Amino acid sequence: MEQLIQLAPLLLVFPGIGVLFNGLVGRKFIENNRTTGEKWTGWFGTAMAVAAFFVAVGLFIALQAEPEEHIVYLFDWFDLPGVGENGFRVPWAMQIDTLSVTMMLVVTGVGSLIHMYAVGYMHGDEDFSRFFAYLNLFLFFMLILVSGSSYLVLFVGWEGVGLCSFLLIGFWWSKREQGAEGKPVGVLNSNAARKAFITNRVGDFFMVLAIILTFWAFGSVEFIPVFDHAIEIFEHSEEIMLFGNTYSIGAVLTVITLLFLGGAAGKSAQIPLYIWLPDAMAGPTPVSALIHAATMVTSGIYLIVRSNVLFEIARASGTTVLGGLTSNDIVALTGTTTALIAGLIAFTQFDIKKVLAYSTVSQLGFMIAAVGMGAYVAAMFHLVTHAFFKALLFLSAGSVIHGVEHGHHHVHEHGHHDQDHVGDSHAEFNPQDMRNMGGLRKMMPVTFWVYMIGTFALAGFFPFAGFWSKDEILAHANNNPGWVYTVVYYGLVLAAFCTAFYMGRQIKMVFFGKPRSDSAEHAVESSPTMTRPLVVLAFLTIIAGLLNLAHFTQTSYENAKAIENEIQLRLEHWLEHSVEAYHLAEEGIINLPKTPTVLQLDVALISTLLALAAIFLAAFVVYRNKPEKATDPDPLERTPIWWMAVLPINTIAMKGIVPAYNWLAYQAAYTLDWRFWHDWFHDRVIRDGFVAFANWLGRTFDLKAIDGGLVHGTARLVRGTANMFGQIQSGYVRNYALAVFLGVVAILTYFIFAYFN
Amino acid sequence: MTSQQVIFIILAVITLASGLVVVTNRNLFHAALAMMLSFFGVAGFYVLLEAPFLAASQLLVYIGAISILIIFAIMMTRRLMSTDESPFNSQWIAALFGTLLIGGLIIFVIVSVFSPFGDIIIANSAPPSLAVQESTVLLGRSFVDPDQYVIPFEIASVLLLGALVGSIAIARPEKES
Amino acid sequence: MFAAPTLNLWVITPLIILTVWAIILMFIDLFIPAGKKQWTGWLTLVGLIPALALTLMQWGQTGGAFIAEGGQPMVVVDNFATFLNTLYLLTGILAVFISVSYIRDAGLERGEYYFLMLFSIVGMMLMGMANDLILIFLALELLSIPLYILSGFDTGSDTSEESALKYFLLGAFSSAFFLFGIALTYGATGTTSLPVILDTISLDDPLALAALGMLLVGFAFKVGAVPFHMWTPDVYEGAPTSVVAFMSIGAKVAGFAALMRVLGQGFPMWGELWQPAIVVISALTMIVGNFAAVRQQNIKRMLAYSGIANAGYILIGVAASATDPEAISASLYYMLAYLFTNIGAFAVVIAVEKLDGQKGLLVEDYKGLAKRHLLLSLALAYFMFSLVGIPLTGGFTAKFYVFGAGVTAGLYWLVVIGAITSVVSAFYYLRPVLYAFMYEGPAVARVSRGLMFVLVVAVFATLVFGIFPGPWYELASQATFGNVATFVAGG
Repeated sequence: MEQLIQLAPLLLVFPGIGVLFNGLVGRKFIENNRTTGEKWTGWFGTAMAVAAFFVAVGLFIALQAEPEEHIVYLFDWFDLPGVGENGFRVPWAMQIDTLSVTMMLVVTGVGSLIHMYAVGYMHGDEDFSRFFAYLNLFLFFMLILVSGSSYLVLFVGWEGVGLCSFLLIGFWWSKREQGAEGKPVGVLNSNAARKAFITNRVGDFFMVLAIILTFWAFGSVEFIPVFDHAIEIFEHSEEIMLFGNTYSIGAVLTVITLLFLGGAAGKSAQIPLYIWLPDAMAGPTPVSALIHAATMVTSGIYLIVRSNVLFEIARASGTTVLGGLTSNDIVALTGTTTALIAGLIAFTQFDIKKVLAYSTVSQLGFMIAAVGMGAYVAAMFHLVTHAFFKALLFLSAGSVIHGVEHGHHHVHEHGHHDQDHVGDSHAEFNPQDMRNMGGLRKMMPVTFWVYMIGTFALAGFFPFAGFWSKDEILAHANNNPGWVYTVVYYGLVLAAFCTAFYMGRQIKMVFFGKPRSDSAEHAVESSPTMTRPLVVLAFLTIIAGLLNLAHFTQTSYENAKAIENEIQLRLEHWLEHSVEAYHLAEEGIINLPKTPTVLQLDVALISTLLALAAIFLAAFVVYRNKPEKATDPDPLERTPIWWMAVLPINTIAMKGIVPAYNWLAYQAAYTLDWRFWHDWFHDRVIRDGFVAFANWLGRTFDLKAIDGGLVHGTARLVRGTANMFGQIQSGYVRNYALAVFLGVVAILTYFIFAYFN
Repeated sequence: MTSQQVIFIILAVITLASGLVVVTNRNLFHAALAMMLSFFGVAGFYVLLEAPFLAASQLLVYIGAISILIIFAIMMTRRLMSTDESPFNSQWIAALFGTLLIGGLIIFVIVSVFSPFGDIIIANSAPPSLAVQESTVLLGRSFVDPDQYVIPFEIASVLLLGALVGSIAIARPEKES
Repeated sequence: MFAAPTLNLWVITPLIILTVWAIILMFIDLFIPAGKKQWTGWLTLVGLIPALALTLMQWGQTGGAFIAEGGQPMVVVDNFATFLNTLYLLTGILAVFISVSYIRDAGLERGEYYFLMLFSIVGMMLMGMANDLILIFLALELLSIPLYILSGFDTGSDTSEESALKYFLLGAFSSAFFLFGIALTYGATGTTSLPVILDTISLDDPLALAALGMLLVGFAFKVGAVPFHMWTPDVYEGAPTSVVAFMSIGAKVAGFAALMRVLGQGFPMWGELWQPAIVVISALTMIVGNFAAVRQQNIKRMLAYSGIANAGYILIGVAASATDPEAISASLYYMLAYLFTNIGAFAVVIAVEKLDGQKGLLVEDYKGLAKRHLLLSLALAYFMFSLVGIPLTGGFTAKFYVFGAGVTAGLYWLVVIGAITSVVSAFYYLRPVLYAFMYEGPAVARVSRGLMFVLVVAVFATLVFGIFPGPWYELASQATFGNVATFVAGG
């Protein structure tokens, strides 16, 4: 098993290969032959994601046998003996434990499906290979983020995914079509990218401060030494020397954890830094699903769960700020507020993807609230299930948009089918606007059903995944004393009501009623490349609740633990190995709020009934027979809820944070303004460099062989695999001979390897 | 390096290089000639391995008969002598990968069995125990000795008979229809 | 000087009879006028039936002949070989009955057809009897070359010639690997005799393992296992149907015979290593064969994929034999039952086939068959049920034993795949039946007397295997490899 763990670096190698391949030669392939080139580059990128997934599975298997953490050392990164007490020494190492592997499985698993979807979705895009290069790059950094064994390595990944997010939100920055506010769509896209980047820098600023402070306080930035040191100091009630003064560990950790919260708020879109996420939907839909719903935005939660020891010691130390709140309480309240406010704003959105974006913000609020309350497993559980169902919803939304656009092209008899998606092709018609939809369930049955499954999961209906994970958070809030928990509980219950309401509104407007535009009337179901991953995700959405099924009857915790092969609370047993706080609580060092292991019937009933009521209210009362025409006003427009649409917080953020940051950046390095970044850097460095390099490659190596042989042969291979056995049976002896030959290679390889193992 | 090794290497280069020409050359006639050269290299190996009878039959049968037959066939169908079609089809990369992999595996296995590498080649081969003439006699005897290879020998003859009948059956002109 | 030759010709008497009779028949054929060539066909039986009788007499006997270097016989006869020889000879006899009218109606009537078939049978029999890799190779070629030619026997038809050429090229390609395997084996052990290999091979010799891999390829090609199966549909589609009926059983069984002997007698100590390879091939073969068959419209292609799938089921027994040598009896029984069912199915195909071109070969052409030929349709249904593996058929008991062997050996998931794929197989096997009984259509058939005989025998045998499998399975379970030591004693 130890050898299997040593395979961990492959996790980074595969996406790395994908980046190199798609970045360096992908474009060349596509220029040479559009169809085969797309297949080759797209499926290669997908294959790399799948390969990484298999590595993660391997690690998972290895950890089954030895669930304690393993450190895979790669190389010495920093070694500055003069810095700090014992020198600043950071190895680049990977921490393989149950927590990081859980994240890896989600990232690579959902990532693979989304890659696959993107092959269909991005079909025909002129920058097809660039897209896959970015997507693989994202996987690469995300895996660095979750696998790093120190805050510094984590931060590299943290910045890297931020960069990818920036690149991908602004992916269509060159679009010239007219968009909203009379600006070209490309400008709007790059504005959105810019906003995301700036807001994330604010969060990153807190992260950097937190990491520096951690190093000065504990003499290391590696997780295990930091945590051990913190526990030791706490147990002996020692003081920490910092900048010549001594401070109590509680005070230091409260500051550090609050800074971490700031970082997490940036990445995981919490109030007040959530403003970038809805705009980030300007990126291609697979990006929205992968980065801005399933994986990157959850890294804030991962950060807090990873730092659980620090947070729990801060809680146990009893240090309070702002009149009696521990830093954990602040985390929990931030999450709750975000969950509620974002849920309310989602009512007012007409853009199908923006509703989901606000919903993501709201659900991230649930998770942040959970980690703030010390319900780490519940948070991770919700993270996993949310990754499934939100990715499902986004991808289905992409499918809906695709279908409506198709209908639009059909109606307007545009002879050419230029594959522009996401509302930027025709200013006069917005295929993402739910007012233009309606009745799509007949035209797009597969999409409809998977969308319903996603909706039920998100709204928290029994027995879908969302029910179990959301309920665990609510039960935890309900089960612990203190006004903070009460506030969190009622806040989250209300947020859950909102969730069901806006989802009810959405499915009503999209799938039911009569089509409100010609385009919707002529919408068609998307291709199987796109719907297949949807079905897989829908299946996962249905069954993911099994990961951490609560007990139905009262069983003592110890009893449950004693039963081997217990299907309930699996995730909890699994994560216990990584969440050090549980051990500390068992040893009596700290007092951890407990998550009930038994299904709380009253909590479950209340939330389910509320969700049912909300959906009923949305679909059968408020939006009954409404809107009839695309131009009809929303029935909620005269209610106070609508004010949420113009909630000053957004304005304040845009008028306050962004200019302030811009000003700072301008002052700090006035040449590096956004003109530089955007125009010069993007145009000259990335784009021109890319093109120049591709041309250079084309001249230097005669790629004829590769184009003709590799692309052709592999395309045939891929097509064959896709069509399974039918296509291989081509009738050509050479194909058969190749099959025989490859069979020989496989058998021989197997025998030799079996022998040497 | 012994002289045997030098000869071996030269023969190996000839055989492999001409084999490569056979599959890559566009001109069928040149390919056939290269094939003869390749056969010739194989005959050389037989000599090196002290199997003169095999070497002689290789020369007579493969170069003397088969290759000449092939060249005849090519000359009779002139159109085929040179085509514009590339001898490469879309699979050559996959085939190349497979070949490299399988070649690598076999080399790996051989090296792991007969290490160090240098000993693989016939440097260690024992001095010929039998005079050349005697080995041919022995070969001939073993083909008809019931305690040796008479049965494979006979089966091979039946096989050839079957092939003969078959080739007649196929080559015979179609019935008047 | 020569040592006193130790000839034990009794061992190969059936082979001698067939070979000599084939040669005599060539001369007789010269005097049989064109148009009367069915006589050559019937005369073939004069060689086959005594050979069958002699083979049956060899049951229970163990012996070897042609003691080569290492003191081991090159040819052996044991119950394993005798059992399989019986299968080939039965196939040959039934194939003659099928062929006589078919090749006359197809305008292919030439004497060579029958001699070639006899040569091929000799090769098949030798496959199971050979105790030496060189002999196995020669037997493989002796069985294959006549089949290449028979596939292209319809020289007027492009598809027939194409199928022959494909079969020949790919067969030669896989033979090359097989030969390479022999060479590597010789390099590792200094011998080609299976018992000597068993004695001398050192367990930690990777060279011999590479050799084993190469040898497997040759057999896997013959039995049509994935991924060496691709020639099968094309060849079956193009070759004359009577030839397909013959080779779909004979060549496959012969491939299995040699595979079992090589694995079981040459390399049993590496069971742990080759078992997973066989398991994967078996699983792939079942999956690909059954799923691909679903798409087929041409009934010969469908039966080709069905043959692939059945090879996968037979491989379950081979895989199980790695841990339990007795398990091959399940595979042997499977082949026995499959022989009759399959030849029966092909007899129906021949009856429906119209010989002017490739008509009557689509599954749709069976529409309405039951209206005019109820008995033939019932026979078709029965064979198809047997191929699916519905109880009261030989196919069912065969699958039952094979799956049982798999379960005993602990290959649960392989058996699960087998069970699932046999459910899938119902989709395509039942389609012609459905068309025959449920649709209106113009399907007609001609059942010659030879075909009638084959159909009756096949239905009867399938029924017997379906109802009284016990004694036959008992025979198969006695058909194990003979003890090596007794070969020498017997010789």
